[in-house]
Amino acid sequence: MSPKISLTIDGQVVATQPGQTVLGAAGQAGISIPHLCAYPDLEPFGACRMCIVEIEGLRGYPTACTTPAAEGMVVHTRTAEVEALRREILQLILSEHPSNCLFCEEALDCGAYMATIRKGDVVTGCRSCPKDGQCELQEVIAGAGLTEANLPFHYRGLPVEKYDPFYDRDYNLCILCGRCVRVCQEVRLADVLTFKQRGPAALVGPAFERSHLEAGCEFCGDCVAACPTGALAEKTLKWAGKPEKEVITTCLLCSLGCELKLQVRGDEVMGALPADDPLVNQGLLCVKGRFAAYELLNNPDRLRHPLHLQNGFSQKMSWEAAIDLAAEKLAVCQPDQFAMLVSPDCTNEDLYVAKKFTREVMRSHNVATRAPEFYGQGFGPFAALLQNAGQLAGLKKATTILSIGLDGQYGWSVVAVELRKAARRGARLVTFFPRAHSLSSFAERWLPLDGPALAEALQTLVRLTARKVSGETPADLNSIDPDLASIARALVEAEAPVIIVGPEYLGDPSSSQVLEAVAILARQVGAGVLPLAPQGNLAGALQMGLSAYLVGPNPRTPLPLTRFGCPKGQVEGGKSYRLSSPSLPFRGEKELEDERGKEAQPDLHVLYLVGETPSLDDPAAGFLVYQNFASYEGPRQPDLALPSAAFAEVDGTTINLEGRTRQVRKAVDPPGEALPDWLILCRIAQKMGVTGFDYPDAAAIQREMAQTQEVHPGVTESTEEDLDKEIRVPIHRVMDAYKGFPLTTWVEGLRLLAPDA
Amino acid sequence: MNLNELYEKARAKWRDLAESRVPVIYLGTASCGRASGAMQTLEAIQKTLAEDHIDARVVQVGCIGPCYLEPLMDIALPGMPRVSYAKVTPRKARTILESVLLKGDFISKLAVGYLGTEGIPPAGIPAFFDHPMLKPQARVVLRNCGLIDPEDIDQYLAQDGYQGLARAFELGPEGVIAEVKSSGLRGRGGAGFLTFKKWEICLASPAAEKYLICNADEGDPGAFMNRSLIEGDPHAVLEGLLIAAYAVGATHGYIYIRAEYPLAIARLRTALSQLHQYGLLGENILGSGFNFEITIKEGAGAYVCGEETALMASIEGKRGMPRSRPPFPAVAGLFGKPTVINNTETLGTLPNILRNGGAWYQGFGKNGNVGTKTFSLVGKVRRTGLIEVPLGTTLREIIFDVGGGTAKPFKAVQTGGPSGGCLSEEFLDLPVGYESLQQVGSIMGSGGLIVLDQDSCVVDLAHYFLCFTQKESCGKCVPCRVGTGHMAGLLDKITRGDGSLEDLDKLEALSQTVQKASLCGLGQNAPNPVMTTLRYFRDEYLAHVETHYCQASVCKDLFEFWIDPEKCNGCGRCRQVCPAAAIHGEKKQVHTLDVAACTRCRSCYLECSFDAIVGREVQPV
Repeated sequence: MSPKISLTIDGQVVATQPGQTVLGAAGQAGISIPHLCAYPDLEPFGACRMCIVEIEGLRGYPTACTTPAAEGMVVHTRTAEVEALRREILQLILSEHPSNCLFCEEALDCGAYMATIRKGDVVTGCRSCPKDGQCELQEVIAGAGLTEANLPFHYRGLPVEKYDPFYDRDYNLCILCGRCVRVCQEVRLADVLTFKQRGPAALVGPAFERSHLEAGCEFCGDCVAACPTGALAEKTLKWAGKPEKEVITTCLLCSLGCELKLQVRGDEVMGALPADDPLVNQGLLCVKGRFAAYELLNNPDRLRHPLHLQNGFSQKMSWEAAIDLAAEKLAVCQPDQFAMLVSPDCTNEDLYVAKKFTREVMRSHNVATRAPEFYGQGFGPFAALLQNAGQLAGLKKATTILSIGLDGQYGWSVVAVELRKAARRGARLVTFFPRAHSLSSFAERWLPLDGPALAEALQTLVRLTARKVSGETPADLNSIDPDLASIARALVEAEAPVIIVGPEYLGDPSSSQVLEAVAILARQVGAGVLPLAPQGNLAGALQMGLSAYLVGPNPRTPLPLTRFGCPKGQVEGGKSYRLSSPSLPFRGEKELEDERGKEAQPDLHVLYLVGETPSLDDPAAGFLVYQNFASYEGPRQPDLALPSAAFAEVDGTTINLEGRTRQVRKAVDPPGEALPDWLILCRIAQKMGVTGFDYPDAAAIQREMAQTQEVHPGVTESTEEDLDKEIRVPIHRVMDAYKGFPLTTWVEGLRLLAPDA
Repeated sequence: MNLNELYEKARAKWRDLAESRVPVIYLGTASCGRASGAMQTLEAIQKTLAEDHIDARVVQVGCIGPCYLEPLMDIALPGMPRVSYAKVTPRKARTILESVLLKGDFISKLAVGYLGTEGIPPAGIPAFFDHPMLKPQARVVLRNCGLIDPEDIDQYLAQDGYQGLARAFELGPEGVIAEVKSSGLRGRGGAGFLTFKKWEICLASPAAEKYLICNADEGDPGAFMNRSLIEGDPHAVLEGLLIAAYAVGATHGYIYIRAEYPLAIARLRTALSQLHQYGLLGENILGSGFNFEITIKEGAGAYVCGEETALMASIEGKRGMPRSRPPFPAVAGLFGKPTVINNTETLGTLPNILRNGGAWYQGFGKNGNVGTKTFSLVGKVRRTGLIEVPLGTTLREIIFDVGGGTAKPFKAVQTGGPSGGCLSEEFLDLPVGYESLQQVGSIMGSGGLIVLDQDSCVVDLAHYFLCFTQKESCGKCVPCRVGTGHMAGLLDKITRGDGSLEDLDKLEALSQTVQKASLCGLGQNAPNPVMTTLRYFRDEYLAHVETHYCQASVCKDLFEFWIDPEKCNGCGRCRQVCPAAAIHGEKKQVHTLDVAACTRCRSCYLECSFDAIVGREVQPV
């Protein structure tokens, strides 16, 4: 316990800790002092002057937000003089900020006349500000009891800036509280926004009249969230009004597992804000987590009903009919004639049920993800890194950080913020990236290497950091690049270095050498490795044993899956549960082997895609079941399309790259008749008369997963024959994808950020 | 080299100059001299010497004070004191030089006075410091200005320079602080806090790194005390900086100076390299174990950067925006380290206090004030320039004795620059001190004194200063950014004749808000010119508002010119200068002025020697 100090605010004795401001102390005691520029996590600023108070013994009117609370201080927050001054200051603010949302002679009648039959379906009433009703200035003015503006109004007459993705800026509404600037500088350390000009021309924005894109903005949206007025407004949330509730869930758009605060009204996710999760993202988000949710979840291509596609025509059908059709096709399908591809963006529960379905219902080996194809030769080493991944928290203390293949400007900007913090506190940051990138400006060293050169450099580092390797002659050491020698020294000297493996080199032919070198290097120097998997729940998919190539194992990438355990007793949301190797044995393994022995059926009868999109390169199948959240338009049309839920529409769990189990919570119902992936599979299984698929909810699946103690048997040794039959599964080489669809399909702003994608 | 050797060498060099066997010509080439053409005069001097084959030394010195007399040239013949000549144009320079050096005729009617005590002054020439502008002054900070070559450290050393620092090293930090405490020295930057107080806080801090900053960001319109001091005697400031740094235990020093002062910056740089050369800067200064370096930081032109927290932000490479205190700079300042920021003049005073003792300094000052203060005396006063008077001298003494009064009847004096107040005739007997000025709604500021006569309109003055502070507001806090804009708007309205009585009340109310609620001194003091003029010149505001008349003939919409037929003698000069061809009349005939064509540019008004051009209320058509 830190020592307490006590002070008197408005006659009330208030206890607080040293270092707290008067404003903070008052807030703790439930005494509200109006303020506009003060904002959590930001240094005191004292610009809006609304929180002026009187403090006995101090001259004038100090601001509560900048004055440290002191023992015995006597503060008056509501004297007549102070309140009058606040009203005067508000008048000054209102002479620069339009007040038609506040003071209108028709305001009282406005509500009553807005909804009339004549005006049915017509938007009426004034809509002068995109954030009308969510404006802190409105609240403060209401609190001060202002009823009119008495100073001549000066409209800045600035054009509304709409040319950057995701949010618009109307600086005519700006009150220069500087929150956006300070969030950008103090929280994100991005320094994109600043104060420009001075005197009456003073304004905020990127320096030198650049656009946000040109200024290197990460589009984290923190400035928008901090803006107390309508000056900064999300394009998709403009004019939309207030959310009804907020739901905390986990983002599945990459493997960091950031906590999201989804803003919900009715059955619509309106947007997403970062949650104050202390474990992973700590109130930070990247552009995807912050802005993709609305357009992704509410996209016009969402599948709402099961569809039967025949001869190029699609026909809406009932769930009963769809389940019947699927069951009918699957019932006559031999184990080897069935294959299922599951998205690593699905929840653990979906993945588990998919695996169980394939094993127990179809009695087949053939369930996999497209991930091995994404990583190519590097899949095995990457999975091994994932199994031994370090902690994100390691970045906070690391004195030496190696960043391999990470840009971090858009996706992964949560990590980039940590790297900037590390660099600012003096940590040595070395980045390997083939091109100029967002980290190069502040990294101590940037080595622009291509894949093979990187592999060589890392192998050199491995040699340099090996303890007392005999046979290493001084001559060898002399020929070493001094850059690498210095990096090696830094790695050896650092107490807990961190190595980040970003997505850039993952598709490279040399990726396996790179990743293997990383693993050895990390072991030698005791580094924590953060393998940044682009797939949302790849760790979960590995855990469920969904890693193998389709049809038979791939002998080139043996996986010690048993080591892939759950985080050590992670407790989350007050609930403690474990996912311990929930791999499933076959039901009637012997029977299956008999069947396999009898006669191999090379042709696929049914290809079942769960959260994946079809590809022309997929093996030809007699019947293609497509189960996903959005409809697919392409050359390879499915026969049966089943609408499933997306991540904000299901309960469940996911495992992030650290191995941390994260809660996915349902914020809204899936659109139309869409159902969770696991539920669709369960219904088909039940239809086919297989028991053990009658889970009432996702929690029941979790319980079963926790009880399944059997060690995964591994995948049986493959034969020559199997290798011949190996089916090539291509994937979209797009980093920012969800369930087989590039996010740019629907998220317009992301298209602007990556025009080449 | 130890200090004694340095002094020996310097004094020998000075004796050599003082007892020069060839004539020595001193020329004031500080900015004020240069603005009056001193560099052309210098060229003429050198040309004359070359053409006439005269062997003489030319020494460039700083500003000695009476800027209205610049360029000032002194001639010292061997064995004689310096004789000073004013307003020396190139042509005049040649005349004087040839007369004095070739004929031995000092042309006493052209000489202002003689300087120095050695030798016999030429007959008929008074002592320079008996000049009415200089006689009431007390030169402490400015003691070397105009007398020594500011680019020669030896000349400063010969005036006992750096003896204050040597004494400081003897006293130790606590001793220095005690000495400064006993002197009663208060910050000369405007606020007037006791200098030793923040020193004590800084010295007590255990931090390993501490900073000392010299604030030379002199931005007030019409103020040039710091510039003149640095240009005339940079070592005085640097010695003060070293003394202060030693006293507070600072590890690094900064001089924050306006980039608009290129000459001062150049002289500082020269002085710094000399200090390094002499071992007075760097490691183990004079064997005291004190290590110190000084960095010059040029300001980029923001007035608000004179405010100490904004100044520190600017040095840190951030936008120059003030922040709230606490924490005070002495606790957490530049780069978060304990920092003392002293004004240039404060630092320039320190060597004198250390050399002569705090009690000696206490001896200066009048009417309960301590020490001396420099002012830049400008405006409609007869004798403009840089002055230093005992603190507590009355405004009347400054304006009428030192400044020689005004040509037209005196109207007001603006003290403290744009943040100060405008005081009327009734305050002429007010002693100039921190408290006395504050009591009447003004401030001492850094020392600008702008004198107004009947030709100046106080509403226009308030408008000018408000526009200045509004443009220079950093834009951070609402009252300053927005409030000053509204005030300037109201004043503009009044000067256009559209003001109402209600506007005066609004102006008053806005002034109160801006003063009470602004974050830093810039905003808090911005309303001073408005509030003081409203209080002391209310009639003039009322005339603007009610009768739409500007008595000073400044606000163009609120008067018209008229030629008084009684006074006009038809000389025609007004007609010649009128750019609008609004004046008609035959030679030797009474002229007339076409009001419709007149643009009220005041050219004729200023040209007329007979007061025949008169401003009057706008007459109904």
